[in-house]
Amino acid sequence: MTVAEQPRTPALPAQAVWVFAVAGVFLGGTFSTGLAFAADYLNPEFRTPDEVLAFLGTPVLASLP
Amino acid sequence: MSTRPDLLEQALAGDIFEGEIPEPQTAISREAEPWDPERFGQEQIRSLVRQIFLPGWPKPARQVVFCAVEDGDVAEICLRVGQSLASQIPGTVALVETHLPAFGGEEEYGPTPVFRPGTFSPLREAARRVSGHLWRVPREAFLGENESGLSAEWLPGRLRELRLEFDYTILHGPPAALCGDAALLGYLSDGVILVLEANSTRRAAAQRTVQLMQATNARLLGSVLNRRRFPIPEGIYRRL
Repeated sequence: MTVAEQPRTPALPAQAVWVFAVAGVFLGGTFSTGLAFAADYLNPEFRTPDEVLAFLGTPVLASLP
Repeated sequence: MSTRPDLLEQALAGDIFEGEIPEPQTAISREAEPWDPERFGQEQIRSLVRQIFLPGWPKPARQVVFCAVEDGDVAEICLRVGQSLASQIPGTVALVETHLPAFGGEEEYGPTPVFRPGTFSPLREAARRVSGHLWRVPREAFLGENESGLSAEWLPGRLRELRLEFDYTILHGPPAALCGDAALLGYLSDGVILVLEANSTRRAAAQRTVQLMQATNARLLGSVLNRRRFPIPEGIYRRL
């Protein structure tokens, strides 16, 4: 049995480094933004007067720090 | 004692705001001053008082119940509203404890009078002066002989007494989601203001409370969002 072609070490990677970098930034940004929206949507507590108005339909007469 | 028309006339004439209206601020001076949470809170309270108690609201209220949904520091808000209201009007203002001692004890306002069964003591005599024409009505004085709690049998009469004795009444009510007394107070008074704790009060509980108020025909005047956080940095927030 003989080797048809000797394996060679590639001179360059199959994908460029910047492709992985862009994909990583895109996926990371999408995931973290989605997580933030999900946490905000699932938060069962009031935080701002706009939320109070939207959920209860009553005017917020004062918001105190 | 001043009457309601007196208060309205003086308010409309602007007499009662003497010394209260701040100097108009220019854009330069506003930028120079750092944002002060305490002053912001005072402005919010003053705005609430003018919306609810003074002419401008569709129907100015004289007896208002402040109550939390589940838990919260309602007493401090009642006290601040009372102080602000008392500073803006010449009439008397009463802070009433309806379910728990809330506005300080004997060390602050003197001993609470003892109520003997079978005797009647006017609420005004039982009240303790907090400052100026701001008075505190202790829980014992409000309940009188009805120590078992609030009841539709005697509560209308007691609220009527308060109307006769004081120009304005601020009632510190029980948590609305935990106790039906808040709805009863809201039905018999001029309205209820819900105190919501930011990052604490659950939306579902607040919605149930609003539905309860509507079901009992209690007039819900609005809400106060307490302990609100401002996560935006001060420098950016001032520019918004």
